[in-house]
Amino acid sequence: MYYPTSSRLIEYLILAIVESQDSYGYEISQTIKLVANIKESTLYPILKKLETAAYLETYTQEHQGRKRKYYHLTDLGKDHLAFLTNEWLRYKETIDGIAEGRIRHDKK
Amino acid sequence: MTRNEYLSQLDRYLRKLPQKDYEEAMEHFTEYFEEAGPENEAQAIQDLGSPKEAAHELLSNLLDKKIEEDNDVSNPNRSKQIIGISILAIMAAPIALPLLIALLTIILSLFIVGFSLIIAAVSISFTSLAVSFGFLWETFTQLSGHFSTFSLGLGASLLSLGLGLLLLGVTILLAQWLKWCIIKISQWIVKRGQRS
Repeated sequence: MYYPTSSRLIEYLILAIVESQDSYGYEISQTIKLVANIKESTLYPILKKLETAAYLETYTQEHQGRKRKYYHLTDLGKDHLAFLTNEWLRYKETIDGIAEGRIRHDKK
Repeated sequence: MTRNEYLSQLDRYLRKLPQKDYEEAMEHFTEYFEEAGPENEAQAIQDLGSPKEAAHELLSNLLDKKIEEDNDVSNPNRSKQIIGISILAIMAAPIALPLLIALLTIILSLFIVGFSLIIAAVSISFTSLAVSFGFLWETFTQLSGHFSTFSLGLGASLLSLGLGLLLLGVTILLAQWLKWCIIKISQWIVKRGQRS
């Protein structure tokens, strides 16, 4: 992708990914990499940060003989996700508006 | 390269990190391989980049984080950690070895110069304090006969005391400035490494 993805946006995406269904590191990472050119060394500290902030909690589960660390969205995380979604919509609306010519700063 | 070779090479770059940071990093990379599974091992290695690249990126992120947390007083080792991580990050930076040695030497000499300056300043300020008490003693025992000699002695004593305290303050500033210098130089080297 041509446009860079900031780490704040990545936080939003991670929380959104685990909202409907718990997910594990590799899957989250592969999904994020669809949009962001990001290295694993940058991604895991963000996951760690979200976990430390108690937005995410983890548990280990066996899947086809392999251990997987799953991430689950906490209630605190849900609140934060609602805030981030709202902020993202505001941002997206403004960008779209400017790009389509609907929004402009009126000089008076 | 196999998964184990990859992890052991990465381990070499990160081993000197603070225990907690080291464990978190190694744990995550191990989990990554575990979850990718043996059939995706080659792909996973390609995604992660070479162990040196991964280590360099990881260390420079960690360095930024530690500098940001520098005001957090709950961690008494923070300055030592920042300087330690800087050195590790520089060692993992994609810079030719001779240049790397030169850069590390510059940082080391800067450190030595700064350290000597601090020791010199501390010694001088302690000497001034000692001289000040010496004068004070003389003032009351030997020079107390006349008002003029008494005030001369007292004045000299206060002058030394003032100089000593002033120099002590300068020393503290000097130490902070030295730390800041080393951090800035390291950051610059690490960031240059990333761009190339």
